[in-house]
Amino acid sequence: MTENHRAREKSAAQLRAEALELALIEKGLVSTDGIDALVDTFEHTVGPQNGARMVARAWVDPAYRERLLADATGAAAELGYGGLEGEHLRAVENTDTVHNVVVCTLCSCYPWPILGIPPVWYKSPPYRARVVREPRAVLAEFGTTLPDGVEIRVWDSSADMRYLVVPERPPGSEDWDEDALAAAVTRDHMIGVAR
Amino acid sequence: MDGVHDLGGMQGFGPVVPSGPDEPPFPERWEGRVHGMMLGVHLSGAVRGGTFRPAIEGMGAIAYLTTTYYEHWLHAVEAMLAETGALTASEVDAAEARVVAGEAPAVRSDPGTAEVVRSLFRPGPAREEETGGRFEIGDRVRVRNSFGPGHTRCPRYVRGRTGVVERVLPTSPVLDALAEGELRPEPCYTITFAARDLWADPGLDHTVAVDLWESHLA
Repeated sequence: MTENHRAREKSAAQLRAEALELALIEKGLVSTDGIDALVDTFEHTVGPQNGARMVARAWVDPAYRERLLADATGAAAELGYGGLEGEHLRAVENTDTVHNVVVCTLCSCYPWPILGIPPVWYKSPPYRARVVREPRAVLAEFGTTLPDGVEIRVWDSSADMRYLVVPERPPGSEDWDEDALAAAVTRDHMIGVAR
Repeated sequence: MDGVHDLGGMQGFGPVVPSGPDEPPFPERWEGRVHGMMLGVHLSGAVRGGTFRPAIEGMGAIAYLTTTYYEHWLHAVEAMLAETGALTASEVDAAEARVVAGEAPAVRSDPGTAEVVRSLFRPGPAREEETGGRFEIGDRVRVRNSFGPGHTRCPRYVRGRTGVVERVLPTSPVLDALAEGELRPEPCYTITFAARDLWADPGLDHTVAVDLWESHLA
C-alpha cells in the first residue's frame, strides 16, 4: 500500500487536523505531549464517574448534599474535582415534583471536570434546538417518561455556570454502598435526559 | 452574531439520536488531537482569548450545519491562528501536502506544558467573587430586543421577553465584550422564563432558565 493510498483513506478533516498539528509543532506553538495530556485526561481521568461520585456522596451524606446544592464548585473540590469548565458549578436536584435537564443551545458548554466530554447528541442541532421548547418529546426519545405532576426545568448554560443534575436515589437502594450507588448514576441522569 | 448556531427553539431538526454510555470522548483520533491543539494554542498565546466561539460562529451557516462538531473546532483554530498571524492557511496547506505525501508526524516534547495541561483539570483555589448589580432574586426583568453584529451569549429565543431573576451569579467578564478584546466585568443572573411566554405551542408547562449578563437586560 503506498503512502498516497493510505492518505486517501483518511477523511478531509483528519488530513487537515494532521496538517495543522504538523505546522503547529514545527512552529513551536503546541507540543506533542501537551496534546497527548489533554487526550489522556479525557480518556482516563475526567468523566461522568466524577459526577456520579458526587451524586452518590450526596445521597448517603445529607450534609454533603446541602453543601453540593449551596456550592457545587466547593463540593466538587472536596472530592478532588475541578478546573477548566468547572470553575462555576451548580447542582440542581430532581424531586418527585421537579425534573431538571441541561443544555447549551449556543454551543456545547458542559461541566468537563465532572462529566468529561459531552456526547455527540448534546453538541448537535436537534438537542440544542428542541430541548428548550419541547423537553418532554426530547426526553421521550431517550425512553424517559415523567410521571404526572412533574414540572420540567430546562437550564441553558449560556454564561459561566455549568450544571449538574442530581437524580433521585433509586428506590430499594437503601442498603447499597457508595460504590454501588455511584455505579447507578449515568451521564444521561446528570444531564437530565434520564430520570 | 445572529447566526444559525443560535439554535434554541428552532424547528425542523428531526429526532435526537441518543448514544450509549460507552461513547468514547473522541470517536475519531483526530478529534482528540484538535481538542488538544485548541487548548495548546491558547496556552502558547498564539490566539486571542474569547475568540474561539466567535470563530466557530463565523464559519458560515451552511458549513456549520453540514459539518461535524470537531470540524467546527478545526475551522475555528485555523481562523484564530490566521487572525493573530501565528499560522496562515497557506502554511497549513503546505503541511497538508506533506501529510498527503506520507511524511511522518513531527514530535515536540515540552514536559512543562504537558503538566500545565494536566493541572488545568484540578480544582483551583476557592476565591471570593463579587456578586450583585441592578437586580435581585425575584425581580421581573426584560431582555433587550436588539443586538449588534458581534458575538453575544444572549440567545434569540429570549430577546424581548420577560423573566424572573432566580439567582444572582458571580460578576464576570461578559463574553460579548471579550470577543472584541474588551475586559468588562458585569453582574450576571439566572433568569427563569415560562416556556409559554416564549412560544405559542399548545400545552407548554415547563420553565427555561438562561444565564444573562446585565448588558443583555433592558
